[in-house]
Amino acid sequence: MNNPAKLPLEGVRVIDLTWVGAGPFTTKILADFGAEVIKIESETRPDQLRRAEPLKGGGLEQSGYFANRNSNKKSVTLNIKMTEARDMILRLVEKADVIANSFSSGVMERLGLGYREISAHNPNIVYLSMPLTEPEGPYASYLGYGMNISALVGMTYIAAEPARHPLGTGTNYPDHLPNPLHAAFAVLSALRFVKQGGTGQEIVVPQITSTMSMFPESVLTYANNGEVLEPVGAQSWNAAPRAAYRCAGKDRWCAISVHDNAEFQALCDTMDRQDVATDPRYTTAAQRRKNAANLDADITHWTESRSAEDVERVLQAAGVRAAVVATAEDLVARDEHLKARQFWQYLDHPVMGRTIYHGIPAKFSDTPTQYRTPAPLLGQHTDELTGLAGIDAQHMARLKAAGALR
Amino acid sequence: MNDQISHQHAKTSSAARPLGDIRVLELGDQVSYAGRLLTLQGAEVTLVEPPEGFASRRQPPFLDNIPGPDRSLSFHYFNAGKRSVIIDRTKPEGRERLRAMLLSVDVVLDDRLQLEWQAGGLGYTDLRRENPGLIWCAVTGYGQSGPHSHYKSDDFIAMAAGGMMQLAGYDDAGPFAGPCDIAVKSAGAFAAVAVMLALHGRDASRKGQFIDISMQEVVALGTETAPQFFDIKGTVRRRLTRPQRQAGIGYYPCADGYVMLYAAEAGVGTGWTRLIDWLVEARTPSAEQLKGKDWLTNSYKAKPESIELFAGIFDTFSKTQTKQSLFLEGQRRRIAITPVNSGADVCNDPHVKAVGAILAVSACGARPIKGPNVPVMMSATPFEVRSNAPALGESMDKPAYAERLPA
Repeated sequence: MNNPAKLPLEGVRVIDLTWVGAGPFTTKILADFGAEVIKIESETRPDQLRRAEPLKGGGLEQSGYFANRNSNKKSVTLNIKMTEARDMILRLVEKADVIANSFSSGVMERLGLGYREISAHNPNIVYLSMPLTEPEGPYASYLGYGMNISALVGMTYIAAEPARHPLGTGTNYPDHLPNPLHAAFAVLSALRFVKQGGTGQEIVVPQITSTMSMFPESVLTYANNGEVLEPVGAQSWNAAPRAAYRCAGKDRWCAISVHDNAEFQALCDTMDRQDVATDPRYTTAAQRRKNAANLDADITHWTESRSAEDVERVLQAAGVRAAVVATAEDLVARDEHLKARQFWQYLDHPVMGRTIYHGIPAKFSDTPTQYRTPAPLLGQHTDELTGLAGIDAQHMARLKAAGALR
Repeated sequence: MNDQISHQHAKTSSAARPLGDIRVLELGDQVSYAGRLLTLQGAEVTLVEPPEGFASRRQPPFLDNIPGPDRSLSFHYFNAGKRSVIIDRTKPEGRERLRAMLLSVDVVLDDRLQLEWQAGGLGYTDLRRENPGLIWCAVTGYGQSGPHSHYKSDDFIAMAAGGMMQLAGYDDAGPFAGPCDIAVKSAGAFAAVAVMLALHGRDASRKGQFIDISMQEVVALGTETAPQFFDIKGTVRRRLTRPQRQAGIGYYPCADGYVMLYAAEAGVGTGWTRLIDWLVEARTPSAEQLKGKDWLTNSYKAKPESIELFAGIFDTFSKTQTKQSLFLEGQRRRIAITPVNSGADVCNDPHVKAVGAILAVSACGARPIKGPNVPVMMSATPFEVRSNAPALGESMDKPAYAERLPA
């Protein structure tokens, strides 16, 4: 390509009042693909993530968590509890396409920034809210993080070994993928609707229903068959054996997943264990599932004297699904495949220096996916307000004197 | 709250559909979540199934536990609103028919390497000249390029390769990944976003493009801050050795199961002080000692002895109460606590019932299939399921794409 490819969201402006987890990741996707995302913060109430580990040093500009969520964005400080600052939001919205927030239900309305007020200033605005639950209903005012959401909707209950404490994913998973992806999808769809001549609209991503909708299995089982889906560990309907197996070295593991009898034979051939291949306890997938404890011991007997990397390599060569249970060190420093695909990105931040950012998990043939700028410093772009909101220097000075720009 | 927001199954089907002009083919069953999201905004999505049907039709549980190609509950849920045709790609006439369809659609959702399609002359580059607007989005285990691109994968393998599996598990056993296809569905959701981005690009340029999505990389997005911890601190995050990450964050037993408590105060989090006040008010033995200043830092609360001490105190309080009563009173006190709910608990939950979050989402014959509502509420272009999941091949006799295209 001769001319640099245009990013698909060039010309889209987003006023971003989201903070912490799911919201900023939603607006990051928009920013990464060309939208001008203006993050509204205040010195009295900066994004909590600015203080979140891992911290490279003190202050508000050293969090690896915050940086990773906020590439390609601008930061403007406005104390939105002040009338003058609220008026600035309304001015910003007139020249914007999207306004996003992740407050609890009712907070935006109390600030005078509800959909009614905002759409009166710009009927084409796409207005995104990401509350914990539906804005009406008994839990409307409740609070929770990603792990609370997974627990509430039935995901965590089944992510366990039978009769042991629940594990879930060990992370705030709904914040990282389901809820930001649903929100970004809806915003992009609403923006396309406006381009087609439609109106703007209000989008609500109730984070519990959003997550339940992607993981409906427990609900489907009970609502239709009246049965409770109980935890069965890592067992699966379409693979047996399927587990992480201990390998040589300290806490090293390789995941193996066998989908049919031919793959099971290939696994046994690789282990040089014809006795396992012909053992009547392992003839069918159902038997292998039933006798998993014995079979897993047979497989571990082979894996535990080999490196996880060797197990992955020889099994994949034999056509058996296998992967090292990767640590962050494996992913960042050792994985030749991710290196070849240039998945990780590094950006130079004025305070933190060069640090790592998760890349975009997709390669587009005609759209670049290299990040442009690191996370913004708190208020780094406040001076741009004159252009963004169309106000003059005197107006800016008045705002500053009133303390609205902090 | 805007009362115009309507939910799925709107009484009057809205004509406003942002993707009403978009036709989509799903060539494999690992991208059904992407197809579902596109369907919900009005795209016409057709499953291109082999003669025996997609394997996802055989995924349990089945309605009333009776197996059958049209009885898988998850197949119903993720494929409602779509069409189904049967194409036998092993036969020349099947490949011919598929080629004609590929030339007339806007979006292809696929789960294979291009190498496989190129061998039959049906790769993206084979079609691009004749269908320049085509957006082909493929989700594979490791992506289309790189030394592992030919490796086989599935949900479990992707959870290992992408680093999420490392973050869950019991101390005395290995790393863990549970059911429900977290990697596959996350990649599907990302695919829907990527297709939407490519459509925005195409609206301006009239040109489609190829999108290569790696499940390994999507899972890596779910590793939270593990890569940043390694990069900045040199520490490698692993599964926890206890049910809790630090005092106040984790799973705690109660009378009828577990609650998930997320009470912190430094960095991300809120509610620690309110939690301790609650324990003290309830006259929980030894709760007073949690008021010490040490307990306000995450580093102190993350010490094994702190986790143990707090768990001992909290357990005496929580073990006499149900998860629902802890949830309601904790939330009243602005503490992020929720029950670890089973499917029955979710279906009987008062909020879920009040907002109608579980409703008919498809049907098997006359029998409605019930499941969770759509993930997003949109006031002007609501997410809508417009038909039941298709029986295998039921759209064969319906007009083909090419015939319905404007001249």
